[in-house]
Amino acid sequence: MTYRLMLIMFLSFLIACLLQFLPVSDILTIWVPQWVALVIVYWALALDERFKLLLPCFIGLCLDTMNGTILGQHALALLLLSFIVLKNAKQLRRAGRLQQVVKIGFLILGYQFILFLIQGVIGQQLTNWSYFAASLSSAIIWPWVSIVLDDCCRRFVKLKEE
Amino acid sequence: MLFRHATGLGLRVLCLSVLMVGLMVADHHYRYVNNVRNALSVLLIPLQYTLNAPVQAIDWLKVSAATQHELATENIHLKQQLLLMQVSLQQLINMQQENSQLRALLKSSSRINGQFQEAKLLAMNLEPTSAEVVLDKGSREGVALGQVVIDVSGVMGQIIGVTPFTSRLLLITDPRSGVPVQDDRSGFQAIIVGAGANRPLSLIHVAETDDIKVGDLLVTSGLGARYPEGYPVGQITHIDKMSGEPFMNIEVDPSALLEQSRRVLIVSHYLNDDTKKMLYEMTPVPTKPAAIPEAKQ
Repeated sequence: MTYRLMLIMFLSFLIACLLQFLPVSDILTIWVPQWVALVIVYWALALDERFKLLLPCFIGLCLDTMNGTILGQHALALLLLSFIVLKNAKQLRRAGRLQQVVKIGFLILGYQFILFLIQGVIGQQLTNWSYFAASLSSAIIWPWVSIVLDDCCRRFVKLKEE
Repeated sequence: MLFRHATGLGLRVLCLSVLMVGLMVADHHYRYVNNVRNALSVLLIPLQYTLNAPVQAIDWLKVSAATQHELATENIHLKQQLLLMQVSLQQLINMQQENSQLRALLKSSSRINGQFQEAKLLAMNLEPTSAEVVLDKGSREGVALGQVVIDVSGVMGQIIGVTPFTSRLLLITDPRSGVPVQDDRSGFQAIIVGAGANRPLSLIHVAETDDIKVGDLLVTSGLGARYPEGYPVGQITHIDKMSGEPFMNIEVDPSALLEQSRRVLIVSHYLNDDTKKMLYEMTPVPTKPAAIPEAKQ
């Protein structure tokens, strides 16, 4: 893993965090995409075998601290998300754009569902189903995330040996 | 080759998952992992301040775009307000003296006035599961766990987490929050609990025969010794008598402008240290707090 790649990864997570926690109006707040989860999905797809599993854990712990949720909640959800992505990396990469959008949408829905389950177990159940609206917006925003990050990678690092 | 990679991956994920579940259990039931949380939150402070930057920029633009005429009118308006406040304060000082004399006659303990510290909310869009906000004052400025936060119109909540530069405020709308209150009109005492962000509070365990009406103002009762006495918490907006149920369903509209307030006051030193220590041992703060600064010293 080169120095440049690490820098780009760091910046991508920084920007994702900023976008995730950016204050927006009450109506928009349920529609804020799961930026951090999307970036994790992107790097899991792009790095494949070189993807370190400690990364989603660490990022998840940061999210937990920012949100004030119990430590490990987002970490576990991100870990399982990246596991599923790594398992199905080939199919996901080969899928067409629209198919990819649908698949990513379901992945983020699963990610949110894990968070929802953990919240339920510790007794702070959500009563509002609009919470899951974020997976729809995440799916819609996915092509742009992947295009931008692909472009960054192509310009600054050689990810794929061609 | 492919198969070996796959099993290795599954095993690693399993190990890490077990670790994370262990961490969650440890965080939920014990206080062991607070050091991790504190270290991470110190690491994330720059991020929190960066997030606040656009909001600050908008505030700054508002001030610099205002014309001199507008500022002058505002100034006059504020001076008038100040005059009115000072007049009512004169009466209040008189009444306070009278009150303490009466309390001395009754041999009841005198009320301790809190000291106030101003703080600002750091703008952040948190997950909708909990009603928490982050303040820009931390343990370096003397903020401690369990301190109460109010705004101009009422009680906002209590501090449940402190880092050197920031602190975390649990709003009264959070399901984990409970505030002991009394009816300002009848003196009837009950507890207000939250029902989630952007939802009305609810007054619990009130029977049909209790003296309570729509429109009553509820103020903190001072019981439980966490919230100081006499601050407005909310107004009753709806009473629902359910047949067959022992208690009524009562909705309360919070007095504090929970969504709009950016400047808040942290009430400190309203209890003496011994009582505080005793209270911390008796009642744990809802989420797992870090070591109490006072107890250490």
